[in-house]
Amino acid sequence: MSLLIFVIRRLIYTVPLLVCAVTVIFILVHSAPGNPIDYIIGEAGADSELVARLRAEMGLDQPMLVQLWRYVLQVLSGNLGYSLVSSAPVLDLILERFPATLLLMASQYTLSAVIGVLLGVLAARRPNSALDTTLTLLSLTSFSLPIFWLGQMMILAFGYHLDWFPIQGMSNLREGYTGWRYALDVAYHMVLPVVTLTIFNLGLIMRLTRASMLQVVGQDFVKVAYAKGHSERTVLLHHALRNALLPVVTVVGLEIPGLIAGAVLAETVFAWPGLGRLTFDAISARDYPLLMGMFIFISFFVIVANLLVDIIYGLLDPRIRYQ
Amino acid sequence: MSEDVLSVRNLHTHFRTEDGVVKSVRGVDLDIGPGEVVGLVGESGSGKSVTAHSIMRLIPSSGSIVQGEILFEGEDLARASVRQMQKVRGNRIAMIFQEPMTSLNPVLRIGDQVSDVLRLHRGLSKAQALSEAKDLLGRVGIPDPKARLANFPHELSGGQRQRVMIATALACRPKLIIADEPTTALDVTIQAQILDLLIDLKRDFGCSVLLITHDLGVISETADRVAVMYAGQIAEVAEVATLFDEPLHPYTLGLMRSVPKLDEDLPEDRLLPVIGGGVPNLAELPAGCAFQTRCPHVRARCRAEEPPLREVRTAHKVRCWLYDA
Repeated sequence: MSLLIFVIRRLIYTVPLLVCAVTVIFILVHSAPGNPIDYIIGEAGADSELVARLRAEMGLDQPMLVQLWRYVLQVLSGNLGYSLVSSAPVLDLILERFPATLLLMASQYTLSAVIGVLLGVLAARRPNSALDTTLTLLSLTSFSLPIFWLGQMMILAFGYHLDWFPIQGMSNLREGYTGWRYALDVAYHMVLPVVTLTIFNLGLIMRLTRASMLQVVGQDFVKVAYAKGHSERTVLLHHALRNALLPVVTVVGLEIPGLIAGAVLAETVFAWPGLGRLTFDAISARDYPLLMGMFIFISFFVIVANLLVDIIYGLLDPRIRYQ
Repeated sequence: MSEDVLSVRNLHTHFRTEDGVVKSVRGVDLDIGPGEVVGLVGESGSGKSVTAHSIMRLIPSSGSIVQGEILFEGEDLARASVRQMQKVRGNRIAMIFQEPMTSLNPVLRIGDQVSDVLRLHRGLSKAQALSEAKDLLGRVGIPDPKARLANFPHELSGGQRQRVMIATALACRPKLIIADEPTTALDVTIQAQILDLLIDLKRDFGCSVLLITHDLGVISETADRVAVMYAGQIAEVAEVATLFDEPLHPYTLGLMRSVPKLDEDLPEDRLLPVIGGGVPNLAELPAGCAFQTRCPHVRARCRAEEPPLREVRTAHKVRCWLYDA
């Protein structure tokens, strides 16, 4: 019950947060040099009457505050405007690409969380042992590598030279698979981008888990668990890990915006037809409505992800719920 | 002696540190009979806690039992495998720790923390174990035990948490309970309640207790026999009445004297007598008696030879050259 109230309260906080995000994005985009009219009429130029009519049509003749107010109202009613390049509704463009990104993100995130936490526990089991030192070295390397470089090296090694995996895209368009064959084909195409992103995100989660576990295993209740006759495995995974996960969940939640940046790079490298690619293309084409729509969508995604993190936190730690 | 529940023989536990090998326990002998409460007293660093943790084989990885036997119901725990120890811990020997505030896992429900030993050692189902946990919480005097099962540790007071720890310790009806400073972290009124509870339940459940404390008051009220530890060795062992009436070892005498006596009219500078000096460095012990630097009766022999623990009167052993017949 208290969890439900907590979630409802947090959802209400989301609205002003989103309005703030929209305002900041609006100001940022409008302070950038140039305006949409220049891109519509292009190099050739047009008479001032046409420009004035376009300005009035697009509401650009209104004061900045009025424009902002109208845009906020428009966004809150669910309308993100139309793309300058394709004229399609921005929201449709985004929703069309979202599943591909969600698939990639969810897969790599689940993998890096599970593997990262397990390796972290393993490293913390015998601090400063050979295994711990090796894992530390690997994790430091993994999050120091630039993701686009790592992606290209993966393509070079496993796509080009070894020819084990497809180099780009999400499915084999020539075969036109359907049903489970299609699912398998997508999974096959996912291997390289997912592995690249997992390697990149694994390191941080592992380091955090290790540090957090080392702190927890020194606490009295861990000694009590051993004194009750539990095996090392039960003590570490059942009694200690749940406590150790709290700081990991916090930091991983804060990292979500960074993950999206990583997704943009990875999707570009692997030509993955997701939101990252869409954002990259919108930047190249100066498609301002699409770009703004993307930023707002990402803001919304980050807010929802943070809410999820807070809920997980409340589920992991009974002391959180009532505060 | 064969009917003793626990019989520690010549136990040596050492720790590897940067300053060298610290000999925390140096040849401890200790017997605990059935239903007996044995108090183990000594100041911080005397090795009493390491002795207890050695019996449970719960010493940190930098330490190890280098010599000696820990005979528990005929089985030598010093040589038992990890798996064998897991069957002993929480089942045949249970331990109660000093800090009730941090001894319970903050993210698990009280019911699960009391009942998990029953599921682990007695193979009960979750429902059976929880029902027995409820009865146990009632036995240790926790009001409305059924509702407490679903509580988390932060919803209980320190005294209640220590009651939960006692309930957990008793759950599998162990032969021996090791209580390591069980009341030190509690305030004085709660201390007495917890001690009374421990002794009552010990009688009901028919187990023996090894009570570790630095508080002589706690010992005098609860223990049958007392062992005084100093620098990793037993300095003196006797029945509790004998030890308080006729302490023999100069260290025991010093301990007795350093208990403040508020009912006597003493000048202010003598209200709280202390034993001068400090515990010797356990990594670099001098030859001879470990207490020589602080002893008012020190003689040449004390600096040359280490005194053995010898029975000087019936059931009264002391490690001191003063009583060498």
